[in-house]
Amino acid sequence: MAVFTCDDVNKNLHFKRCIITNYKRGNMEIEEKVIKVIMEQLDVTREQCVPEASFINDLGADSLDLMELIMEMEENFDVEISDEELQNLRTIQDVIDYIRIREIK
Amino acid sequence: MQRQVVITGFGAVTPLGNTVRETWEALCAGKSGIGEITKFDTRDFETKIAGEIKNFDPLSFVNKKELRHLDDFIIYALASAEMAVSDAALSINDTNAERVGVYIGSAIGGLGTLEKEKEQLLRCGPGKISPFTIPSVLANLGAGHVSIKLRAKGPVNCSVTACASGTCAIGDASRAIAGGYADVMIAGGVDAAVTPLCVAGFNAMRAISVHNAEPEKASRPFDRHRDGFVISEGCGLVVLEDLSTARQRGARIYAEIIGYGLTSDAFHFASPPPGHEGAARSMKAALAEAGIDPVEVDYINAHGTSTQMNDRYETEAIKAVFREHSKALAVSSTKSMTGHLLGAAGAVEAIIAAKAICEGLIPPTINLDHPDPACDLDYVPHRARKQEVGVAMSNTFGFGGVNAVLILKKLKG
Repeated sequence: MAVFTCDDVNKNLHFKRCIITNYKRGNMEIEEKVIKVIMEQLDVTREQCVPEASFINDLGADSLDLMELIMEMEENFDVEISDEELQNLRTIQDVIDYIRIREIK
Repeated sequence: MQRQVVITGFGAVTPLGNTVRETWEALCAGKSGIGEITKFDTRDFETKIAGEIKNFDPLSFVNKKELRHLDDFIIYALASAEMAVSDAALSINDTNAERVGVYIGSAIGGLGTLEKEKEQLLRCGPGKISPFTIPSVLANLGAGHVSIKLRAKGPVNCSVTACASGTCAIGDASRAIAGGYADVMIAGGVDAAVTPLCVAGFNAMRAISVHNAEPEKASRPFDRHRDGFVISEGCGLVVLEDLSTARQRGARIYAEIIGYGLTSDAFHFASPPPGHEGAARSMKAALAEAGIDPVEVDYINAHGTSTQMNDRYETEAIKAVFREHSKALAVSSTKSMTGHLLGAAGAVEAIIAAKAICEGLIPPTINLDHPDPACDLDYVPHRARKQEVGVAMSNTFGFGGVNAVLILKKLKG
């Protein structure tokens, strides 16, 4: 039967907090990295890159820009995005979520 | 031609300058635009020199995204078009857009992009090719992008006739206006082919100079020691207008285009026939369309590539057409300074011919230190000459046996 000391519990809590912080920091890093790629590829400002911004409607991208953007994301995050998956990536948040899930895996 | 066609605007980027004014001033000062190739490592190349565009700021004309997606040839065309339209003080709007067309020729299109993407294909596989590859390589995308940027909705086309591309574009555009298919045309030629494949390809043909030690002396048209042309890059565009449209809006008129001749050698894909009868027929065809006597021509801006064959045969063709008058004619090859701008050559040289008419100044043939006895015309050696030019002819001949000639005239009154 395992016996937990207060110390163990505190350590455990600290460990969990670290995971959460790292996870959040990871998220922030992903978000910033995604936005950096988007700013570079679509020649848009940081202010335009709100999470709900649509590549086509808000950031002036055409279908070829999107293809290129996705190739850049694949390169930067070491993922492969199929054409079917691409259909669902309409906003900056879509891309951040997509990459976050795959990074955790 | 049914309607009179005039030039009301110029735009150019050349190895001599990034505007028509800079280019013209360098030409009249007898400066060479040729230097060592900086765009790629020429270690294993026989030819290490070219006429590159220098100190050009593409971001003055396109945004960062366009800069990444467009081949240099398209950017040079966009820059020249912006300058030409501004020079002509032309406004393109809903009332005239459908009557404004764009003809921009190019010999090789986006060869540089093709080379880079082929390397990428071999290195990283087909999934890593830029989606902008094909639209950057297609030769008509210079004209395409210019028409988009200017919102010009009239006829759009791209002549791909090697070194005559720019001349054909201006000739065909003049006819589009003369025939009533458009009122205004942005026309000319562009190429950006200072690339490894282009240099190696012309080297393999023994067509380009290997005079690497003194780049500025490499292009030596009509000189006994000439050893081939020098590849250059750049663009020349003119705004052409129907005379009455131009007059109505009070446009400044540089010159009138009065004749265009286009013939085929039907002989060999790269070599002109002895005596170059195809070139002679092209000059005659342009004179016939202009309805002028050969003695009325004051100045010929020669094709004058600095290859052994061209310069000799072009001289023979000029003598065959102009007979006695060939001795009185001023003939200069500005390629001695610009190098050979390939598809842009004819357009830049048509601009030079028009400037000669406007300024009463004929730019020289530089580097003509040892005249070839077989080339015995007045080539305006070394220094520009002050001389009234009422009528000027511009010759360009291209691979495939195409000979294209334009005749420009000072507009009176």
